Formats: sequence, C-alpha cells, structure tokens
Amino acid sequence: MKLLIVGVGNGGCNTVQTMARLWPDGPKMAAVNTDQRARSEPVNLEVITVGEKILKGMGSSGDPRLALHAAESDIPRLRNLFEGATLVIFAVGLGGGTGSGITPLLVEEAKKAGALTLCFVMFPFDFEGGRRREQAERGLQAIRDLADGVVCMHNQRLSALVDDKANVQDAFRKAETALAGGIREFWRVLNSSPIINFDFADLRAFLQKSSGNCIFCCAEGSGEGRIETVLEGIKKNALLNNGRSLADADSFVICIIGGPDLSISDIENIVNGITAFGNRDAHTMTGVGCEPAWNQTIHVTILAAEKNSVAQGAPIRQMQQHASDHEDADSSAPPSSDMVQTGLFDVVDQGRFKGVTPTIIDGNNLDIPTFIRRRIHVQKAKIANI
Amino acid sequence: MSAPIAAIEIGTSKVCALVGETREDGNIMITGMGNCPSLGVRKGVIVDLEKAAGCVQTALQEAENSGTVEIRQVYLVVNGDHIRASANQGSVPVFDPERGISEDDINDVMDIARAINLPHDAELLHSIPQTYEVDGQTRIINPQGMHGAKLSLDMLIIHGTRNILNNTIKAARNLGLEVLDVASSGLCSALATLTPEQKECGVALIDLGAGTTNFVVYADDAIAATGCVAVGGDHIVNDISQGFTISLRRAEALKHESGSAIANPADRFRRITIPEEVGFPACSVSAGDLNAIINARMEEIFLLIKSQLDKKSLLPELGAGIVLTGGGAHLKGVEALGEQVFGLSCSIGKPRYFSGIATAHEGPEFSAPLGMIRYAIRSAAKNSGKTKSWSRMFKRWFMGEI
Repeated sequence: MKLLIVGVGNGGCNTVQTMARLWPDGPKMAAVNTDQRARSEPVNLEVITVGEKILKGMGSSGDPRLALHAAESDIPRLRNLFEGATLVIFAVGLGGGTGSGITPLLVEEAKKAGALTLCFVMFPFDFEGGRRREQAERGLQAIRDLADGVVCMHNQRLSALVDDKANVQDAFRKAETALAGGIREFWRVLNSSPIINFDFADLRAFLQKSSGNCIFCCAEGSGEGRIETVLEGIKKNALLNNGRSLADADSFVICIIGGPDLSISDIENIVNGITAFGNRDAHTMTGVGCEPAWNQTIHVTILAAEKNSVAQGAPIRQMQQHASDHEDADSSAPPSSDMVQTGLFDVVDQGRFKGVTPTIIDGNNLDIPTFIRRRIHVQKAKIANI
Repeated sequence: MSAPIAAIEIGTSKVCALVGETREDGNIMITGMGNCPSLGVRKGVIVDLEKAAGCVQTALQEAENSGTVEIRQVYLVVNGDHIRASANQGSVPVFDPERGISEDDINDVMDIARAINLPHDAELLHSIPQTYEVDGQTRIINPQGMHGAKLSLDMLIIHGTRNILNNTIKAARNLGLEVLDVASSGLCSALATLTPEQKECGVALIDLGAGTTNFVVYADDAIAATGCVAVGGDHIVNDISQGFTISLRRAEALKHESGSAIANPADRFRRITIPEEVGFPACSVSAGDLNAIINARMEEIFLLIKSQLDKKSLLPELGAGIVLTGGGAHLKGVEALGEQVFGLSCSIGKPRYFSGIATAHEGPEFSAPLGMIRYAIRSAAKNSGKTKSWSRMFKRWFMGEI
C-alpha cells in the first residue's frame, strides 16, 4: 500500500511538518498551501504552493472561494502529486480559506487518481470566532460528502490541556502535535501485523456508517501497570471530552498494538476497561496488532462515532456550488465575504435556536431542518428583477 | 357569577393573559384579554427572564384594561419538554370486603399510587388517576361500592424540572403577582377543547404550539398518555428561513400567507413573490419548495407523536380520532396531513363553552389559557374552604377536573 500524507492549509502544513520531523523514515508527505511561507525543512516533505499566478503566494485571506478558485488553476500539479498513491491521508485545519476551500477539490483529485481518501480535520478553537467556525462546518460537510472517511478533532477540547497563560502558539502547536500523533497511530494500526484484523476496509465502513461526527484519541503505556496507564489516559483524554464522548458514542473501534508479550488478558482488560465507561449499547469493534520491536509497550487508539453532532451528514456540495457561483459571477454579484456569510445552509446553531438546548430524539437533532436531514433539495430565494 | 379569574400563558410565540368568570349556565365568560408577542422564550421554556417578564406585564396590563379589573392573583400555564409523565400503580387491601369498597379505600389507594420516587430535581405537577383494578378485573372507572379484596389504581404522574418551573413562576412573581396554581399546557388545552363524548370514545389532542407540540390521549374517559416534544411552529419558520436564506420575519409571513402542510405537485410551477422591505430586496421562492419544507417538518412532528402512541398501542383506541389545536392548527392542510399520517379522522379543536371577547375563544390558539381558567374554576370549587399553602401548590391532583 502506497501512502501519501497531505497537509492542507496552514494548520495542515504545520501538522505534516511536525510529522516529517518526528517520523523521518515515514511515508511520502506533501504540504499544499496557497501561502508561500510553508517551508520545506525536512527532506521527505514536498511543498506545493497552489494558485501562485492568482494569489502571488500571499494566501487566500481566509476566503474559501478564493482559495478554491486559485487551486483550480493548478490542477495538473495536483494530479502529479496523487499519481500512484493507494491511500491518501489529508491533515486539514478547517476554518481558514485554504483548508476549508481546497480540500474538497484535493479529495476529488485523489479519488480520480484511484486512491482511497481519509481526512483528519481540526475544528477551530472557539476564540477563532464565528465566521471561521461556520466556514469550518461548511468545509466539513463538503469533505464528508467526498472522502471515504473523515475523522474530526475539536481543538477547543484541547484547550483544557493548555493552561490559560500559555501563548496562543502553544495552543496551535498542541493541536497540530495531537493530530500528527493521531495520524501516525492510525497508520500503525493499519500497518502492524494483524492478530485481530482491522484494515482500511473496516475503517472505511465504520466511518461511513457513522454519518455524524467521528473523533479519535490515543493513549500509550509501557512497563509495569501499562494497562492502567492506558485506561487512565483514555478516560482523561481531552479529545474525548474527558471520556464523556465514549459514554454517548453509538459505536466505537478499539485498536490495540502491543509487543510480542501482549497477552489475552491484557486485551481483555483494556476492552473491558473501555467498555465499562463507554455506552453499554454501543457497537464495539476491536483490532489487535503486533509490533515485534515493542516490549512491554501498549498503544491504544480509539475511534468513536459521536452522537448529536452539529453537522449531521448532510451531503451538500457547498464548495462546488461556491465554485460555480464564482464562475458565473457577474458585476452585480455580492462581495465574496457576503457569499460566505449567507450560504444556502446556515448551520443549525444559528438563528432561532442559538444557545438553546437542542431537541434530540432517537439520535436526530430536530433543530436541523427536516428537509436537510431528508435531503430534499430546496432552491434559495431569487432576487426579483425589477 | 364567580370572582374573576386570571390565567397567563407564557408561550413561545405569544404571552397571553385572560380574565374569565363563570356564568349561571356554566359557560365561562371571557371579560378581559391581553396579548403580547413573546420574547425570551424558546421551546416553551424561558431563556431570558427579564424579557419574558416584560411581555407578561404588557399582556397583563392589556387584560386589566380590557377587563377593567385589577389582577393580583394568577394561574399559570407551564410548558416545555421537561414536563414528563410516568405511570405508577398502587394497591391496597380493601378494609371491609363485606361492605364493599369505600371512599376511604379509594383515598388510600390514591395516596399510595401517588407516592412515586421522582428524580431529585423534579417537581410533581399533577397526579391523574387512570383506571382501577379490583381483584384482577381491569379498567374499572369507579370502584366505589364494588366487592373485592384488593384495589389497585394506575396513576399517571406528571412532573417537570423544578428550576424551569420556578423560572416561569418567577416571571409572574417578579411583577408582584401571586401565583395560585400551575397546570401543564397540554392538559389545559384538552380541558378547553374536548367534549365528554370525545373523551369517552377515545381521542388524541395535539396542541401545535410555536415552541412545543403537546399531546394528550384519552381512552375510556381517562387520560391514557400525555407528552411533549420540543418541536413546533418555530422550527417550521426556521426551516423556511434556512432553506431560502431569508429573514425569520419573512419566513414567518411566508408560512402564514402561502404555506401549506400538503405539497401539491402543481406548486412546483408557481413562484411566490416576497415584497421589498427596508434592507431586503424583493425576491421570489418556489411554492413547491416552501410546501415541501413545511410538509417535511409537520409530517415529522406527527410521526414523532404517532410513534409515542404506537409504543403504548393507543391508536386503535382513538374512536373520535385526532383533534388539533394551538396556533399551528391554522396552517393550511394540517388536518389533511394529520389524516394521512395517523389514518384517523382529524379535526380542528376550538375551545368550547366559552363566551365573551370573541377573538379569545374562536380560534384554536388560545386553548391553553382558556383551559387554565376552566381548571382554576373547577379546582377552586373543589377546594373551597380549604386553605392552600405554597408548598402544596404542585401537589394537587387532576381527577374530575379534566
């Protein structure tokens, strides 16, 4: 299996840089950005600046539409990038222009090249503001529609790990490191010699079935008491909302990688330990792998399908629509920032039900318009020509 | 004529204050009415106490002026999906089986059936006796005088979250009003609209509010189920606003003027023009899309309630079909959609046996506060002479009053 890891946008590019540093003998990695400032220090990192003709390497100023437009002018270069890859993992920081704007395009190109696609996305911190959050949600919907699998990481939950006085750079570094670690852990899971098999097909089936939000966390332990360390690590994991996400999850996957000394009782203890604080009715899958070089070391990765997600699997080709909007934009078209603000699907927590406890019945968030959940197509209001 | 009674409903779309008194013929005469568009209420629950209290004051003043009364004491309608019903059964041995079941036995079994362990944050609102069982013979409506050794009673316990209830009460008390009693919105609507014949045949009342949809089911003259889902007319407006990306106010107007719960294929070719207003240019939307949005949401609400009735196998018991009330009953095509979903006859329930200010009792949207007045009058008659303490306010029961 030929793996390619692609970072998109500033957040994504920083993540792959971290990964390339930590993982010098890893697979091929690339950083795709509209901003020239992403530098290529590690050797195995290819840096691609898209849309230089349009943006002059100055970035997309947080406008997904502009980023997409710029990237479309560079499609041949992107095709070259994906050639021969069988699995492309994307690391994306959503919320800005590039990550939210061009990832759907990249996913589509990767699929055209015959690769499977898995996206790890970072959701912005709350302090980044409402507009970035909206853009992130729209971008996520578009990505979810295209990619074989999407795994979400909420940066805000990491803020519990960063103390209040830490500088903002630390907060972002922490998020990027967590994501880099997660991707590496996933690759390990898929690549280790299987004892109980959990391969990409299983992963894809799991991610596609969980139309809502999918989140992950990793924990590791070594030496004496490693199982307790691992379980404690999972329970306290900020990405899982201090374990609360597990209690609500519909289904989850537990991947365990250990050394040759991994025993049946170790596996049993870990699985029982996790299911004890997880949702009793949840559907659980387990994969176990072995790394011959590890002794007395256990890595556990959990993937949980979170209920009550804000953006529940509504397949909207938002970004494509933006692209076509752009093409036939005439002089009377509203300015770009306005387009982003008033997209077709203003996400649910806006408007009337902002800040109100959502009505959730049988796992459906009823505050999301029924027609969206039922995928009924609706055309937005047309300005009358007078 | 009794003393005037004031009822207030702090609804999601409007705050309504009504003043009513009984006449000699038993009808209730509405003498005062105040109405104010609601602020600070979402899904039947107060989210901004100050704004909500302001609305209550406006409505109250209007009611005082139109009724030429001063209102100091009020009855409050409470609402929200925190209000839940649980069933509880209590049994007692009959004290003297030779003489038959006495009133004391019935009072005993009621006390026992009412004793239920509620969640620590819940407050008991109503306990409603359903049917009695004597030595295994079920569905007995009045066991008094019957022979038997063991008497059981199924009790429906209605409870709500204490803090949310207290917020509603606070909105009134902050204005210096004394709250005499509270009752749940669904039960009040049932009290205002349903006839004894309907209750006997079995009927489901669905109160289509702006923030919540309440239902009350009668089977064999007793309340068999009641519940609330926090989805309502507001959701329709929000859906329209999101679908067409228009303001909530325009969405509301579209729903009222052009919306229908039934999607007609011919609508696809019709466009509705939304006139220009300050800040918004004129625009047009497809009638087909509008009705598809409304139809999807309304059908979902009905299906939610249907599934709750199905769980208790109550649908076959509804000889008198479905009665729709609340502001949402004004929506075009809502009866036809209800008939489609439930497979039962559907009608709009208007308040019965009321007179006085006509607007107050001719439409379905005032069912809940009107029902509250009826509830207050009946409970006052029943409790006359007894003093009622604040702590007992919630703990009263509903028998015979509905």
